[in-house]
Amino acid sequence: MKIKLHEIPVSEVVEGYIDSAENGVVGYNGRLNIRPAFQREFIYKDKQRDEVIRSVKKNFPLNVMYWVKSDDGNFELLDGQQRTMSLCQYVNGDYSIDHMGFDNLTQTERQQILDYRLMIYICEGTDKEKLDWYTIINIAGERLTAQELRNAIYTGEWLTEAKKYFSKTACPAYAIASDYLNGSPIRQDYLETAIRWLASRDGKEIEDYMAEHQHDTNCNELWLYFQAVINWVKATFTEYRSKEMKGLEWGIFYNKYKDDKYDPKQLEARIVELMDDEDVTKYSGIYEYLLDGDERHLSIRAFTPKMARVAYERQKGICPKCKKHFEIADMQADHITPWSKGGKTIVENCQMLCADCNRRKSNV
Amino acid sequence: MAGNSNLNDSARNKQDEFYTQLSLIESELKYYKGHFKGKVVLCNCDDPFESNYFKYFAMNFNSLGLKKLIATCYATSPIIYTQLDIFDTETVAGKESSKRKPYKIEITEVTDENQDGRVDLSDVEYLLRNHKNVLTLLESDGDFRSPECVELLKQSDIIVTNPPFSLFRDYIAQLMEHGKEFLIIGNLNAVKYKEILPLFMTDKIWLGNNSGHYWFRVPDTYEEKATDFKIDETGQKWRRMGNICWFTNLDMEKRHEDMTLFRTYSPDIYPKYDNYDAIEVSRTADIPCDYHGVIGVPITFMTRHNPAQFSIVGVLNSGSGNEYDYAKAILNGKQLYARILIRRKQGEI
Repeated sequence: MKIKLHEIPVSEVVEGYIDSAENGVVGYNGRLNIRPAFQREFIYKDKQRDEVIRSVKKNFPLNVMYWVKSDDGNFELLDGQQRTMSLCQYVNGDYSIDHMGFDNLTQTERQQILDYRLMIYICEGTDKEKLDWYTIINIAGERLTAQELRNAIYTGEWLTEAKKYFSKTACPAYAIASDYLNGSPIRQDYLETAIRWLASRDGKEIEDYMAEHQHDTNCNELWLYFQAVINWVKATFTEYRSKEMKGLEWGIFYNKYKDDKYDPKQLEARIVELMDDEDVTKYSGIYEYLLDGDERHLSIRAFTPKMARVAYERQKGICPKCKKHFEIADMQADHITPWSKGGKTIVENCQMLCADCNRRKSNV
Repeated sequence: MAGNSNLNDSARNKQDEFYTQLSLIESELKYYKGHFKGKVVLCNCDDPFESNYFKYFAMNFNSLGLKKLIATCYATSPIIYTQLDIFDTETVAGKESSKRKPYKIEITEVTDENQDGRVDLSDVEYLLRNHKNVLTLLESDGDFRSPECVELLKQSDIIVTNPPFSLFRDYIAQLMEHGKEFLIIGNLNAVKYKEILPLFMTDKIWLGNNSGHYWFRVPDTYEEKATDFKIDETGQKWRRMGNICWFTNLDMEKRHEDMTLFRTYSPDIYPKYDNYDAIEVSRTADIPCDYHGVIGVPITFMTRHNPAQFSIVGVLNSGSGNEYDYAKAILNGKQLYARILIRRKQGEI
């Protein structure tokens, strides 16, 4: 991998600057992707924008920026989007500062801005190397999310299409799934989650999936999959509960259990029952529990030290399994009738087992 | 709703003096730069040196490649002459409002008049002070309907301004009558006016890039209000207006962008109005991708309209007074806010 510092004058970066809004922003004679299509649009405040120009006019240094060289020899701008846009827009005459647009400056002032040299690190290498590098440099300023970094590498038509569905404020994915997903589309949380679920179905990582589909012309597989997940959730768990249902790994559940037959009415009845059960302390675990039957998802209430002491005294320190005597510190509280069989977390249902016997019991 | 009371005031009291911020003008105008080369631009605003429209075009005269910039002021504008003292006392009898005289400015080139190395607004100011033929008094009051102003309109190619909201219908009608290109700021609700809706239906005008709630400078004489009103550190009064958008017939990229539709039609989710054969879609983003009949959407749809994707069929508003206003929008016995009626273009999937 090569990482090299370049000094590139403003005049070259703003050459061929085109802002096509949704369809992205390019500069550097069409060779620099300043803002890819459907990427997060920074709303730089006028004040910050003006500060960039004032710094350049005074020949103050701007922080370094990062570009990535793509396979086709063009560049993706990884860090410095706002500063670059501010400069391009100013030179392009899109805005003025104190009633002074670029065109209203003296020849010398204009030349000074055009000659100002931007410090740009350009990285070349394999996708994996670039990703590693981004992750490390991604420490200052507006931090990029892991998915934003991936988006800088696996560019292509597939990604452009996917962003239409997953990456805009009020995008289709948000519209259908905001009840079930955490995070924000513009920070790429939706895209990341959707790819992760789909990749996980085939035992893959997000990067694998993106690399495989990078040059697809559409993202139908991902979008149809995502819709299927959400439709399955809605059809299976018909009553919506925001606190318990939002942010669960629905795609992972879907991958495993989509072919099982569930009766939504029975499921709903069980949910009501479990939420009513005082021993269930983690309501959001109810959904996974109903699918896989593992009661650990529910964080069943543990016996209190007081209950344990009462049981210990009742047993006079004798373990009911191996009949030997133990100190209380060496024993563990256990449900006599298991919770799954209706046993409650109450002192009457508590017995103290020695560590060995308890382990053996849970293995059965 | 924010801003509406200010709009109502405008209509009721003919309080039409809302001054657009330069940043709002810049952020819209940047999408149309290609249209201005070799063109005559008219800003028939209130006071050229108060108006940021005039300032924008004066500042960018050369970079846009304008042929000519014309600006007129209106006699009763309360802030005329407040910023630039361009007339000496012999030219204008006095500054009292009764004696104000409207004038016009015509600029055909902006060069470095004051030889400071810059070509900027100070040169425009120099021009106005020193070249008497650049700034001349008008015979009449500067009303956009006066024969004198109509003559100026005829000479112009593109009109860019903030027309009086209370006379918006007349203003648009005049522009259309004279076949002019324009980019003017207005209120979204004007879309459903009977004089204006047909222009949208026939794709003769459309909405610009930016829309929303914006602050406008207002004259000192405007009363203070509890909401959507502020006075800044310089004592300047401001009001905030809602549903502000740009009306234009200049082509730009945004109106060719398709909306990504993803909902599927089902009669349960998309009921029909009680009194009109169209489905109700209360949020533009929820327009189903597979429905080919008539669809009712909120007026904000217009900010995202792409004429290649949908055609505009009419409006559900009052159901009268207009051949395209078919009915009130009534759903399950309840009257809804006005709806624009749209239909997918043939062949679209």
